[in-house]
Amino acid sequence: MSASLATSERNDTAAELDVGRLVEPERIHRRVFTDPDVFELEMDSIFGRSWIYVGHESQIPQPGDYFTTQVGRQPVVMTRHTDGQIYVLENRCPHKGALVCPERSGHAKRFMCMYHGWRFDGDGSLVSVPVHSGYDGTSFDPKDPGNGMKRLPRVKNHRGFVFASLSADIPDFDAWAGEGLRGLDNMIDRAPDGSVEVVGDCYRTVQNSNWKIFVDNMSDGMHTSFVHHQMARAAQRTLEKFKGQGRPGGLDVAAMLAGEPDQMAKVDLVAHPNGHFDMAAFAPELKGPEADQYKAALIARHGKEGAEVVLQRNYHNVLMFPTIVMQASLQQMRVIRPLSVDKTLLEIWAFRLKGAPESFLRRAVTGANLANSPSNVVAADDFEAYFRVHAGLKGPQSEWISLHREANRDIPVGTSLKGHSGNSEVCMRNMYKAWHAYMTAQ
Amino acid sequence: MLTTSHKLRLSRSEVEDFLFRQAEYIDSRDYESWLSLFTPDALYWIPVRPTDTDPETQLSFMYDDLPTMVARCERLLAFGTAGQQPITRSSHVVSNVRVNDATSNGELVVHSRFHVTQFRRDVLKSYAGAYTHHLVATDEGVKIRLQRVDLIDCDGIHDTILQIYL
Ligand code: FES
Ligand SMILES: [Fe+2]
Repeated sequence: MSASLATSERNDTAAELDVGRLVEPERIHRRVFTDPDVFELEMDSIFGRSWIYVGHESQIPQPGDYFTTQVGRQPVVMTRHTDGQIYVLENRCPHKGALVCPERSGHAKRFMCMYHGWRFDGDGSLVSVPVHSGYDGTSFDPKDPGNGMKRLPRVKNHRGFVFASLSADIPDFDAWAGEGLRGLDNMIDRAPDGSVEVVGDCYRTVQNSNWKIFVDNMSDGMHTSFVHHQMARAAQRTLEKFKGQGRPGGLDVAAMLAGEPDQMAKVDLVAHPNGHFDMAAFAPELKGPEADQYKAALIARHGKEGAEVVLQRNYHNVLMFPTIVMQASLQQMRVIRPLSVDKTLLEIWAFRLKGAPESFLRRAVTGANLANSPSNVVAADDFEAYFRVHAGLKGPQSEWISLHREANRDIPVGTSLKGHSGNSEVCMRNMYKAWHAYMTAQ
Repeated sequence: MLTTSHKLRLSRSEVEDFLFRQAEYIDSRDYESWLSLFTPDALYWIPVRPTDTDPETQLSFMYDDLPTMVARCERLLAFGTAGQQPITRSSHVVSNVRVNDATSNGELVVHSRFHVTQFRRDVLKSYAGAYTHHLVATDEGVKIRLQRVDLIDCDGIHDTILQIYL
């Protein structure tokens, strides 16, 4: 694969740019965010060659259920076939290429393409082609089930979370995820019944900025006291005014961001191989009789020591590069679906921890409404920052952005790197190292 | 604020005046007056799917109690709020008002349609749908106990964050 890009930005001084030179250990070239050619290469080299999150098995509980989304630029459909198995198929008719499943989710005994009536099973097999005699003597066999909707070559169901790859030739899921899996696992381990399920449908919001500007923000401790100051103060004042009122997971969490510029310094940031990271949780744990019952249920499942380990680990933001940013402690997951170099779709899901009290779910819902919905009051201010970064980077005159903060102080922990403080840009540096490796791999 | 026990009865034009006033408060950014139209136990709900029934356990666009509404309005008016530089301007049209009989708990249920146009940083954006208002009589006049907003594109993709109330 060519790592060399012809420029599509006429104002740039260099006519050609080596993608390998866009990333340095402590700074990034602006074209990483703004160049449509870089975006196209990302779709092939990153979204086409790593484990992309598709959806959760609880979205398709019954045989015949399906859910559609995209893996990179590829429309896909996740199905549950009559054999009970989950398949991830290209959502594309082998005849002329029409989308076979047009809805975001649904149920069908068999799929029928609306254009010329070809029919497929839930595992993609071709079932029938109308007037198949028309293919007699041609090189196409309408009776061969293998001529149906193509399966993605790699699919992994990790404890209900379904990932897939457009390329067969990538590392195994466990090797790819490594320590980056511990945030996702912790959310599942926190369910007394050992599994989670989605709460209804997801939100879908679009940021008018490059997808990595959002990812960078997820480990950016230094922005919180600036970008969220007004909302945090409004939440704080309101809670004082309405003493004892306010739903858990809402204003109480927003109010936590009302501190000094280094308010996140004490929060652990750990960067893992392949671009993943996690940030420790800072939202308050639920208290009261329900929380005590919950702890007892966790001890029943994991044992006393095991339950302690599960509860000690607690994560706010978790990146599984390149598609998942979870807010594990708040039972939410934002899935990144880049649409173009300056448009990024997020699917935002909330999860029920099976066996946990209803108050846990209510807190997740309150948090999602206030921080992640299409009318939220937290990311509303982040989105403004992303927009301004992208708009500022369009100018060709200055080329680099800075990743220097605490760069000389990273602390190795096994194969991972811990930031010197929660203000460190260690996770950004780590992500661009992985980005560079994907983009320059032959 | 005390809710009076008698059944609330209002003519359509009285209801229209009330709905026009609440819309005007939003469009003129007079949130203090706007908040005063709600009861202390008020709820402001924008479902994310047409079929949603339980905002406590399902995601919503907005499911605000009064404290959340107060905080949201404070954010809008605070000096320096990032998402309000520049501010959002809005223009409401409220129409097709239908007044139901009062329900047994004295609430008057009112249905109407709205078209709200918003403008922020060179982008004009349109929201359309149906309002359901549950109005009650109090010793401080008519108040809103529930405002439900059903957007026609509630389950669509949203490329603008809805920052001000509809
Ligand atoms: S395109 Fe699907 S049947 Fe022709
Ligand atoms: Fe933020």
